[in-house]
Amino acid sequence: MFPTNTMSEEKENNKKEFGWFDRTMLSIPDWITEFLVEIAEITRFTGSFFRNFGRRPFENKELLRQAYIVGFRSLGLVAITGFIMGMVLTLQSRPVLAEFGAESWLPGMVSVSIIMEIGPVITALIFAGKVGSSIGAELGSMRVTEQIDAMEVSGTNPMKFIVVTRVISTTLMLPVLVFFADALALYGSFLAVNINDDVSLKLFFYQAFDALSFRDIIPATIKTFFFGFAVGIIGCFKGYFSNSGTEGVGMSANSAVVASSLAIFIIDLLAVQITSLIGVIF
Amino acid sequence: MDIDQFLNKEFKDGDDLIVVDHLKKAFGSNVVLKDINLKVKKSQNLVVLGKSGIGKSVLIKCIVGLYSITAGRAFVLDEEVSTLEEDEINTLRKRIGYLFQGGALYDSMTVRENLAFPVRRTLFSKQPDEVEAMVVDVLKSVGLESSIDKVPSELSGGMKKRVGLARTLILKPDIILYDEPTTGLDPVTGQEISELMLSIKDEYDTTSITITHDMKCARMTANHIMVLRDGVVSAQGSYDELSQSDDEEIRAYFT
Repeated sequence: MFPTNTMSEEKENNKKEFGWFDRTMLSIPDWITEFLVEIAEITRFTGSFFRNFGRRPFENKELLRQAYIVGFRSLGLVAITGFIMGMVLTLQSRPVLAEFGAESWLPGMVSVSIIMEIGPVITALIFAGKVGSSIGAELGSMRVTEQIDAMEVSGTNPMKFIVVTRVISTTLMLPVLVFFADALALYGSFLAVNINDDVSLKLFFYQAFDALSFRDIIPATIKTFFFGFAVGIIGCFKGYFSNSGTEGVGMSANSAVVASSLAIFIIDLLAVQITSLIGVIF
Repeated sequence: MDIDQFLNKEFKDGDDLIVVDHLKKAFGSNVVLKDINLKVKKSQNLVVLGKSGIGKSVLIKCIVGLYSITAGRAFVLDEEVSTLEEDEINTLRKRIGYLFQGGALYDSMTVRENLAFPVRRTLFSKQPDEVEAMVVDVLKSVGLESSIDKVPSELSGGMKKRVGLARTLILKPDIILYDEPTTGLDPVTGQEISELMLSIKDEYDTTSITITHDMKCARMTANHIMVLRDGVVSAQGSYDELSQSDDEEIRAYFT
């Protein structure tokens, strides 16, 4: 609609006018600049979330509705995935352990893998795919159809109604979903063990939990809150600042999934490092 | 801004409720509005004409504070929009209604919830039965009381505009900004919306700015018309004055 210079053209023009420091800064590739700008914007958006977090009146009804949508409606997918995850992990690990005659370690090995790492990360990734994309697309669509603007001009704070409720829901619901996924993964593992062996449910779960301590479970649970927060805030950010048009909505949904999946791995890496550090200190 | 004092501030006929002074709006290097000056007096309707993409909607979004102003000033109800804090601008917006082009109804809510939404979040002292009464009253005024439990996807384009208008009216604003109120509607429904705008003006004594391409709507509702071209006001006057303009491009809007 309006003529625009690209960022590169602007940089080329500006290079002629500035000193060495500015020229160095301007020679930074566009994608790095854009990435840093995005990080700054998402940090500001997160700051705005925390500013609105405790402000009255609380949107309790919308919070419950969002918790139902992101939590209860994801239960089926998460449950099936968890169940299959436990079965597959058991079936693939059994031959290796059988070579050493260590089949009895199977419940313990599976429970440690599922509860400490695979359960939280896989469930969070599925959650990012289902919920992150839906939040990105929904808010993107609200932006395009001017529903967010309509809230603003009616004197309502859209951050509080739209963003705070969704981010709290994802933060609180993901740990619950991980708990369900872990439980079903262990049950799937129990069934898979019984394809070849004959182990009672009581003995299986005794062996599974014997290999775990609270020091394993607590950090694994805490990180799921951060995963949920990341999925919510990134989904909301991408949707809230969606470009106009249907393509913008699609891109919001897509980039919400990509960015939140990446954030999950980064948080997981940090969580493992911090847990190891705490383990060394104590 | 003293919020209670502001909410009870009265204006009399002849007062300027909206004043735009050398307003400039740019998106990056794109200057959309170069130098806009306008005044809208109480109970008047200013119609803004101009080609698509010229910045008409940008102008009213600057007035209501949805877009920041690059240079110049905009005063609404004697308050300078760009200097207001978040809470202050939310207070100002309680006295401004905005009808969006597509209605901008909240998809996930019924008509009742759409209308109750701004009331519950701005008039905290209202009891649920009072809110319900307000919703029913305002729906009656746009002739859609039978659609109270429908969701937006069940409404036609014209009905969405009416519900959007009802949502705008429920807070009894002093000013209404109409963004292409009849665009996308058949001529009969468009005429009905224009008549509704007139009856709202009489009933609620509103002051308004209307962005439109619909000359029938402009003729019915305008007290004053302004034409935007190249980011500035290229002509203004009454419908009859502008329809006899020497400028062929201005005359083209009226043929």
